[in-house]
Amino acid sequence: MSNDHRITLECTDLSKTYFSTDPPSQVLHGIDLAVRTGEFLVVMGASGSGKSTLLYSISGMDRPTSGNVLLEGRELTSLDDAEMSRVRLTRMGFIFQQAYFLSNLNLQDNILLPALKAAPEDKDGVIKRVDALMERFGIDHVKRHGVTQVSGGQLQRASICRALAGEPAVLFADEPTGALNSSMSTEVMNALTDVHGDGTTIVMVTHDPACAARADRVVYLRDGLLIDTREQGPWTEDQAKQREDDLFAWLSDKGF
Amino acid sequence: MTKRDSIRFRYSYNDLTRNKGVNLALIVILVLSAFLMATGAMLIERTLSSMSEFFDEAAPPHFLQMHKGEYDPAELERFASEHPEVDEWLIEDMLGYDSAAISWERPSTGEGGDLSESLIDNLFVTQNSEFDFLIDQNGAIPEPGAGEVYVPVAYEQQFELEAGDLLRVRTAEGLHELRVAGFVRDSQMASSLSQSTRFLISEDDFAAMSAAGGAIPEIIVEYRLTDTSLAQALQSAYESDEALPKNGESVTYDLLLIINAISNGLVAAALMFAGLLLVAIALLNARFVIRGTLEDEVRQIGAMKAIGLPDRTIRGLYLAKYRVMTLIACAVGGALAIAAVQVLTRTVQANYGEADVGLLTVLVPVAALALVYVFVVAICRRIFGKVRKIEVVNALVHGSTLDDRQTARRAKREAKRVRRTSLTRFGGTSLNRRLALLDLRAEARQWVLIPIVMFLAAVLMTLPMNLLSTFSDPEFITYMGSPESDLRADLELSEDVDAVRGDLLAAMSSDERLDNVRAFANLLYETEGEEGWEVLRVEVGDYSDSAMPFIEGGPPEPGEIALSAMNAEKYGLATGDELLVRLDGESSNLTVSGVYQDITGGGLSAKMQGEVDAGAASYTVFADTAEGADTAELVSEYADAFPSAKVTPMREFMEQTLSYITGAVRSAAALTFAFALGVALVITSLFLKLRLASDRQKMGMLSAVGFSTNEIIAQARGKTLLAVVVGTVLGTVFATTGGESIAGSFLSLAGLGIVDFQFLPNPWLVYLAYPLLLISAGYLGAVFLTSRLRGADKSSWLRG
Repeated sequence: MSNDHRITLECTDLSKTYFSTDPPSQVLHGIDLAVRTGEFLVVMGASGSGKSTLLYSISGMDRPTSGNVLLEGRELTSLDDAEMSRVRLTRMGFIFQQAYFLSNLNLQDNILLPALKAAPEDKDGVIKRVDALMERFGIDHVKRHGVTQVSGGQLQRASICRALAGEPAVLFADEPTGALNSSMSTEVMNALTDVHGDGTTIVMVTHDPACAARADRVVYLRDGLLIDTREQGPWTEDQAKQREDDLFAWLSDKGF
Repeated sequence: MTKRDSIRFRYSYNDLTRNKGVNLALIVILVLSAFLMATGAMLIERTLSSMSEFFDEAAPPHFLQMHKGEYDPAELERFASEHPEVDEWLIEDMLGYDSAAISWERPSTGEGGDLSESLIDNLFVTQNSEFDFLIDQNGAIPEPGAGEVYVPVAYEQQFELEAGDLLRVRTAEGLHELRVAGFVRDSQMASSLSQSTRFLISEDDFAAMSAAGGAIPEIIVEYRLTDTSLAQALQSAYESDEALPKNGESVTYDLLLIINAISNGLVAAALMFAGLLLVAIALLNARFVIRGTLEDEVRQIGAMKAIGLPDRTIRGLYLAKYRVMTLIACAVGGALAIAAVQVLTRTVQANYGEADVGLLTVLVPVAALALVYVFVVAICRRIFGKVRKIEVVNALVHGSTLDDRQTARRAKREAKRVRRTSLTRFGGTSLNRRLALLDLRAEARQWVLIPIVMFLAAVLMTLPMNLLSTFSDPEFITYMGSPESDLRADLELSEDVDAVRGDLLAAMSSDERLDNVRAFANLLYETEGEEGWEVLRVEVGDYSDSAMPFIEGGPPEPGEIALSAMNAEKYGLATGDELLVRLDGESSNLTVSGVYQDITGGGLSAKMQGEVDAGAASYTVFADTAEGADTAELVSEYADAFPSAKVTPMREFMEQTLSYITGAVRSAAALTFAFALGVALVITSLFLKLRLASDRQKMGMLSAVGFSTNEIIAQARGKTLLAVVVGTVLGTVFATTGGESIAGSFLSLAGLGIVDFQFLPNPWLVYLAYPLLLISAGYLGAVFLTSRLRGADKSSWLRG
């Protein structure tokens, strides 16, 4: 829960420049950010403000140009590709806007894949854990289905299961509802809120204030700079409307 | 340029520059195909034109009979007068010298040497006045002055002789000196399969050398007919006429043409074959690239359809690029072919002269290129036919080239597949290997390109190489109707030939350095042909423990006869049939014991068991060298001790006899070898480039869930390696089995006397080195392409 003030993830003076463009474009300018253990943090900002770049830089998918990233006190930027992959495998989970799955595996296998890779010796334990997750998120009846045979909402819930199967220290979500209709969006956000309720640390990028309203804290990025932070406190269903309105007003002030 | 053309051109230009790597790879393959097709076509045209012009000028005989020994010119007169189909005829007198008896010197530099390396007979002649002319390098019919000699072009190349060099011939009275005035081409003896070659000298020198002694006199009786198709009949009539001289080879015009065309046409045929294989490879690639393009640009196509552009216009837009690429490839390939043909026709030009450039010279390669263009564009058009089936909604909303029914079918297929697969059941195999194999299975329709291309590349590489190793293998002698051995000694007709045979055999048999010494006598038997008794050349000797292979039956026992494949066909005989033969008036009935292959002397020969030590036309002694003995040393020792015997190491004999064929096949094999490696490298790179592009999101996902870049690279390389290995292995197996049948049918069609062709490959090269090289080339493409994945930002993969 967010009242625990230990830090799980922290970045200091984080910058990212893309040299593949001419001239090179600096997308992040010295970002300092600390994510508390069990916190649900949302990163917002206009298109091109650097939200996704921040998410991929602190998750080790991309290498920052400068600055440091600490996960559970471990410096990530100095790790090589294999070590970083191991960190993603065992300590991080990912949910994307598109539900990326291997079409030649069924839903259950797709969810099992990283967990089996992390603990091949504990196959039975992994399968039991994944089955439990699928049951919890209401997709156990389609576990033998191919990825083209289930709905978008089911796929995103499967993404959440996959991300959680390895019991990560932090779960990264990049616009997880961006490609869904409103009922599926609610379905997915309920699942994430549920996960957060278990104490999972979540860092989510979104455009949608309704989704952001569920976060403990919202940070706002503009042109690669972190310009403001808003503490919202723990989310409850009955305050949903009020939190959305307040957040919207805050965002409007920033020209969102 | 119309507005539509300009749009098409702009689109093609933009696309060509945007997807440089992919387009370049495709263009390289197209250029290679066009190049090989044009080269093959040009080679055929140039060779046939050169031969045809040369034959027109040299007017070779339609039937000829070589002869050593006495003869009665009156009988030849009679024969000619009895045959009205004989238009012209002549007897050419020749003086035969051993190669070691001829030396040369260059006065300007003092360089010199002898011709002893040459294993064929050297015949000195004067220019004919009626027909069968020796032609100089300017295409003229030279008449050498006194003291001048025109040397065969083959020697010009082999010994690098020049006009102005001095040639000294050792006669019984001493050296006869001649000055090289030029070089001549010989319509009869241009092929390396010919056992002799002709030098042109003046009447005066001929008379002087003849009087000086030391040469073996020989004649060729030559006939020009009113109709060349009557040559075979004339040959039969000639051979059945007992009074005529026939101690030597006889050759018809058709055989002359075949031998010449085969030795030169083999390369052209091999290149055309390689060209066709490459066209197939280019088309497979074009299909793969076009399908990829359609998938990449399906939304754009959907939008064009949505605004009402007709399918034909959209197809034309995309097709334009392939038209441009094929056109460029044909132009570049054609230009390269012109240069290559200059190099590849050097031997042809030396032997037959350069043919005039005519309409056909341009038309033939242009037709071959047009064929490539039309074929490639037609196939591309067919693949683009898919544009018609793309549905606007599916294209715009789902980015899919499939219609509803196809989408449902695909989903069903995938569902069926995933039901049968389960990671929960997977055993000890690594997860990466498992994923790679599942990928290969799911994407088999795309990946199949690699095994097919590698299959074709393996055939492209192995087939010509197998042909080359077969022609270069000492065991190929068995196709020449002789047993395998290390050295052979040929004794031609001379007064003391029987005595020399006895001495040589005795010397060799008692020589500890030699094993398995066998003497064979060549006798002129007669048998009944269509027009009465005709000559049957029979080699008599001991075949009891001969390793010579028979395609049917076995070696002859006493009372039996073995026939060459062409003789068996000529007389319609098979093993077990009877054949009536006669020698010196005595007839006997022999049973055919077996059939063997022989490509020498027109392929008409026979073998009988026995020992003949006197009265034969010629003798051949074969021997193997004992372990540790030096063949070259033995050859030179016996050649010195028995000057009238032609002692040759078998390997060298083979090499020189088949030098044109092996030389030609070697160039073609080297070319196709390099092309196969290049194709393997280019195609795997091209394929992987496109494959990795379409797999970006999948790789991004794998990276996000904890797979390292090295693991992702290993999966791609593993898949490629497996596909490459499967294709290469299948291709190698096919090239050595089915390829053998293809080459065999080609050679048997050529009428050379080969009916059962078997490759004599170098197993280490064919089964290990070549496949490994090919696999390495293919794998190198994968390594090159995948190594670029390192250092990339993984999130860029997710963005697609």
